[in-house]
Amino acid sequence: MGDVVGVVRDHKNVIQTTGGTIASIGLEQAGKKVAGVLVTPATWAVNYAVEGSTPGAVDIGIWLSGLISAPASIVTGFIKAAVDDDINRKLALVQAKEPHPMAQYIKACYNFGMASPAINAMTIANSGGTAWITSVGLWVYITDAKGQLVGDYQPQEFVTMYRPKHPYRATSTGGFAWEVIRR
Amino acid sequence: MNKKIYWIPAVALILLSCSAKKDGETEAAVQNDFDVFCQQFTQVTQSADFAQLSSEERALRLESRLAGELEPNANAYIAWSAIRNGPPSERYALYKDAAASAGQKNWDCPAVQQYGHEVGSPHD
Repeated sequence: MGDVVGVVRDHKNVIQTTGGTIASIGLEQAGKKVAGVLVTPATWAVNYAVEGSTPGAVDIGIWLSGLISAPASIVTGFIKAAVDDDINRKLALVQAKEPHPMAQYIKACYNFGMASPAINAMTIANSGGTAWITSVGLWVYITDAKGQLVGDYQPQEFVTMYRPKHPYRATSTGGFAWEVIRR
Repeated sequence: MNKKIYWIPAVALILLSCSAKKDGETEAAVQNDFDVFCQQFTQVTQSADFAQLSSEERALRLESRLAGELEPNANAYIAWSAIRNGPPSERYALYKDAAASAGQKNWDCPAVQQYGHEVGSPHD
């Protein structure tokens, strides 16, 4: 029992790093992914500030092994978290300006495909949907409740909008002839 | 012990710099996508029978060239697939926007500027 207590005391940072991971999940669910990523090193800083304790060799070893074994995923994860936070914040602003029943079906073009949001927006119009960019600088599109693209939605606020040209006409490539509307 | 801690930011910085190089390589690959598109577009416009072809026939010819030169998930290829059905008068601006959104703010292509509205689906 005494050994267990000693291990816990000596490697408190490891224990708190685990707790930090759990805390980071909570933060990510709250839409604060950047904060979540930063939790692990932050626990060390708090311990130092409050108790003057520094992370032990085991703590650093575990943290470093994760850093060395998966540097790309860490960097990518950090950047993606920052991007996701920014997109979620802007998407909420866009949705707030649209009628309530439809607002929940507005999504960011960032997640539509593998290309850039602007190119995804073009692909959406070509596929029969409406995509637009607002003054907050976020490309978005809208679906119905079943997830199907909506071709004739008129957003309340937009800077540029792509949508199928009316009357709808399928092209030889399977896409729709589409138009650009600038305000 | 404290000296060992200094290695943490040092290692992190080295890894970040390696990551930055990879980002640069990705950007170069993206630039290449749109440059390849411009090159193929230009060659189509320089073909002897270009003037006799309809805009859809020109698009088909360009499509067959691009399919052999670009990956299906390349930004330039995805952009082309959509813009060919976009409004003819807007196509050049759309290609420029697409390139800029993929990291190529200074991309330009004289052939696309001159003939972009004549390659793709007609909107009549």
